[in-house]
Amino acid sequence: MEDKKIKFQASSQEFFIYPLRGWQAINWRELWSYRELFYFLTWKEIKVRYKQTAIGIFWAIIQPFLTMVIFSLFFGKFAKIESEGVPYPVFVYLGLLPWTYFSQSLSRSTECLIGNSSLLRKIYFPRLIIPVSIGLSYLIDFLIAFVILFGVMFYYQFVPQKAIVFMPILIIQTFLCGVGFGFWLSALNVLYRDVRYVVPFLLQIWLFVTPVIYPVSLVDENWRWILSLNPLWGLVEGYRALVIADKPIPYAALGVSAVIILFILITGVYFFRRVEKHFADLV
Amino acid sequence: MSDYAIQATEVSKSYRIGKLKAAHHTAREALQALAASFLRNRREKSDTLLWALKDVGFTIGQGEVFGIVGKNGSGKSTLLKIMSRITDPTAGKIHLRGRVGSLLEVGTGFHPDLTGRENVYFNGAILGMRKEEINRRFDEIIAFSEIERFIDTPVKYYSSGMYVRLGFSVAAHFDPDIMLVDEVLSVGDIAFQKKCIGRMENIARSGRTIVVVSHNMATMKELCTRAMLLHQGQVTKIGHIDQVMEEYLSQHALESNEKIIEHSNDSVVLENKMAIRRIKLEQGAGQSFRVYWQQAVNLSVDLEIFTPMEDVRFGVYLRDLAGNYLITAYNDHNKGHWQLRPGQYSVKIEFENCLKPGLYLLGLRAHQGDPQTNLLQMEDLYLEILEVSSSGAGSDPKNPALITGIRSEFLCNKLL
Repeated sequence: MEDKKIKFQASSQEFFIYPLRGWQAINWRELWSYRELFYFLTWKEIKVRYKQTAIGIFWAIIQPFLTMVIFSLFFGKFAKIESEGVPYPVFVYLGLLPWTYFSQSLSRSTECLIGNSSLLRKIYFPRLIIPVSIGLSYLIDFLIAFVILFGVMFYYQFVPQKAIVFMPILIIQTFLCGVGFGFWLSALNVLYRDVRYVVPFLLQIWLFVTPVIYPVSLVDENWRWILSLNPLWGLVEGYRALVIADKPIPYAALGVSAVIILFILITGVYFFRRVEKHFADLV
Repeated sequence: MSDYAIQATEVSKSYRIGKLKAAHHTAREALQALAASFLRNRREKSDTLLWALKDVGFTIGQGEVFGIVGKNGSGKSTLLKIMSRITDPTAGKIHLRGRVGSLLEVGTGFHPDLTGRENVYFNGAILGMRKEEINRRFDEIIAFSEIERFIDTPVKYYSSGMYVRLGFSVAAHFDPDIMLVDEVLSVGDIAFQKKCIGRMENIARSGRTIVVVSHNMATMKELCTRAMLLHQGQVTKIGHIDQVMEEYLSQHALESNEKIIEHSNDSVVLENKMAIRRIKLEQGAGQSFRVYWQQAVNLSVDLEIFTPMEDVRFGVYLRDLAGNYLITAYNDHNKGHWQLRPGQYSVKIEFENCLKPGLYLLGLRAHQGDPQTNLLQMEDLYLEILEVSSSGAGSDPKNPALITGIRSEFLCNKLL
């Protein structure tokens, strides 16, 4: 009965299937037509992540909070690492915020294509949506973790600067950083399963070359420029500068970071699109 | 045909076998292959190409229900995958007019931890439905699936039947202009299958185009108007479903009165205790798997036994193309169960045939003790019962329900 209501319409959608060769750019129109899938995949990611957990989304708070406590104890109290004139917990938490977001979103992105193999083998949709939705889903955790930041700041009676209103720009930059590397690693992991063993190791090293635990001043001047090629370097510095009063905004480092992130993002998309057509045969 | 929905021209797909370029799962393998490719010459490379599809061309009109028929490995599924854009063709072009939806495997994309309700939304979105579209049709989807009570239960607690129902319901309520269907109707219980077929007929009637791949000939016949036969990646026939089926059966099913089984995967062998080596129809109509109406069926089956077994129950059955059992006959009707020792046996089976003319599926099975556990099962043989032109006039033979008490004869002789 219900079928009679639906009139067949000569749809304007028509397309050709032919062998794709070489590098493919983004098909923006197609992505737009699948815009709701961004939402649904992100929603599914979040739902599934905390299903059958007793405290659910609170994990998003507990993880960075406990890391902060432990780091404050060992690095702040025992090792007495300096913290740019603010309480060490505030200092380290400002570093942990973008770092936790980046590392979680990256390690999950690496597995995301393999993990969705049944989808990739059976149904077509723009594959780029998968790593993007991973990045979006951890953004929720990231924003929840922000609540703790305000809690910590309140506890130490620390008044944020007005510059904090620029935070969204940094958040977008952090998101793009995670997604850019996510494109690369997710596609590489389809080609070479070695990647999944490399990533945890990579992240460990990455934490040390990013000024999360220590202030930049601890690093030898001659080494700073090469370490600042790490896009997270400028980002972490940026987050701190927006909150800590007398810390100047590191425009140069942020600029370098933005350029590198853009480069990773664009090459990542092209690489992803290039190997995309083999995904169904490889996952 | 000017008003076509799908037009494919010279579609080919090749896979590189053996040294599949894409199959390097580790960087080390990739490096090794790279090194090897320097040593190998070009000609060697092209030798290892396997053409899953070669120059396939067809046109499907708008509102048509089109079937793709072929043996396993004939390229049906590859073609469907290309049409649904999951893989790329190596050469050729397909023009599709309209929104394409595929119903490739029911429940794909269901996440076990999500509830039925959540999965309906998620699966719908993946198939390409808009949220408001899902909202609008949600009640309809749930009603069709008949699992209202469990809609807020995570699907990991569902039975496979419930899973299939929900999956089909979502896919069947998506309204693409072109719907690609792969073997999904072989699942679920008969009543639900009928419902699904009805649903698809409705979809077709409302002017949408459906492309179906199925092994179930009865379903194909019921649904499709036209079909295409694929053989080793090439089109051997396109035309009316009846003609295509006839061609398919004459090519693959009834061509000989004997079937020699070389690979054990041709028949389901469980526990590796016995295997069928050869099946032959004796005194059939010509050199084919055909008998005349009311003519008894004489089969000779070569068995190989690997371990000594007692109490083996061996039987033969005939089903119609929809899979309904019509005749079953077991060795216990006359001589009791068999004691078998390792070696080769020749089994002669004769049973009465009271079915009306038509095409049937012949199956063999053996079990020991519990009738649910098969030692062996084989069911991909077609048997045709031919009309006897002069006799039997006026009588309209009807197929009865399952008959078990038919006269049958099972003789088992050890050869070696």
